[in-house]
Amino acid sequence: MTPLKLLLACAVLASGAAAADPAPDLLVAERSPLPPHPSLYSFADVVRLTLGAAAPAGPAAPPAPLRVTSVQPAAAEPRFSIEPVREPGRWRLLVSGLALAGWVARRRLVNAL
Amino acid sequence: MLLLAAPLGCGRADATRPGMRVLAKVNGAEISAAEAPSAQALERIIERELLVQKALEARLERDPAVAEAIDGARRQVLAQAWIERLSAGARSTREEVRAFYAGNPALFAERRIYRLRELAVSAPAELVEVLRAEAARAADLEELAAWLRSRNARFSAATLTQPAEQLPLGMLPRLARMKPGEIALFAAPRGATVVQLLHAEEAPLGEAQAAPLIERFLAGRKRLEIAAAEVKRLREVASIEYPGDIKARAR
Repeated sequence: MTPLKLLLACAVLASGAAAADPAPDLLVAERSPLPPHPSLYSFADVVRLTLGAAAPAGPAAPPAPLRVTSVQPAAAEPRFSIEPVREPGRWRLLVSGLALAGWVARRRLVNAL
Repeated sequence: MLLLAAPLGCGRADATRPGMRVLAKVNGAEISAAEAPSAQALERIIERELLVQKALEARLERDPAVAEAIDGARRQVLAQAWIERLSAGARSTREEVRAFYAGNPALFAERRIYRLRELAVSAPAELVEVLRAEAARAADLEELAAWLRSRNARFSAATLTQPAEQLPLGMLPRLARMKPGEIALFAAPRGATVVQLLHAEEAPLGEAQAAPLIERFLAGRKRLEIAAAEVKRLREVASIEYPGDIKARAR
């Protein structure tokens, strides 16, 4: 809690003529969220803030459970993709056709000789 | 915490002090009774210790981010320890408890459980004044709600039952004096709250019943006051510099 909040908690008490409260109701209040503005704080809110901020260090508390978070995405699942087989362009067909025709003509010419 | 306070890389050599009962040894590292108040806690500490040992083997304490986090935790512990030392003697006396009880009858001796009808109105300050006059004339909140609707004012209505300690402190002195059927207007951060008391049930708290909580509360308040005074004193004598426009950016 920041010093400002500490002072605020004291100031609310000093100005509000506040007082204590019945424990059972306070326990309920401990689970409710704080009002959006300090001017709306109830005595239960002030008690909660005061005791929460000023609680003395007690006997060794059990350690908080360790957090286990995943920083890496889960093991990459195999991904499949379907892409169209690229067909040769028109100029490639033309060149390959001319090459084939040239090879056949050359072969015939060689055989004729 | 003791581990954090220990010099970096020293493991938990200082975790147990002479005379402390050792509950477990984890690869030679001792876990004392002071660290583990219950069997369940002991198992959790053992598991944490195993992980810490692996982290130290991997020299994680030299990782800049880890080192920064360790230093931050250590400073937090030290700051808290200083406040605890200063406020160790903060206690409330019986006279203070009695005075607090007597000074706040709406919360104790004259405590009531209130059933209220409430209109929370969002309105500029000038409308709040008009609303105040209108609330003084209105027979009930329904009439006031109709008036608000005719002005296209934004509001919400609710019926609630709350004990005194859960109502805003700023409203309580007035509510404590109200009789069933009465209407009161309270300024709120963004407008006003108009409240009609439907019913109030007497539910006083005796001094003996309230004293334990008052004692805790007053002691807590003293600790906060000591902490606030110490921070103020330290700031006054310290040299605090804000290089460049860091302070402006922090705002």
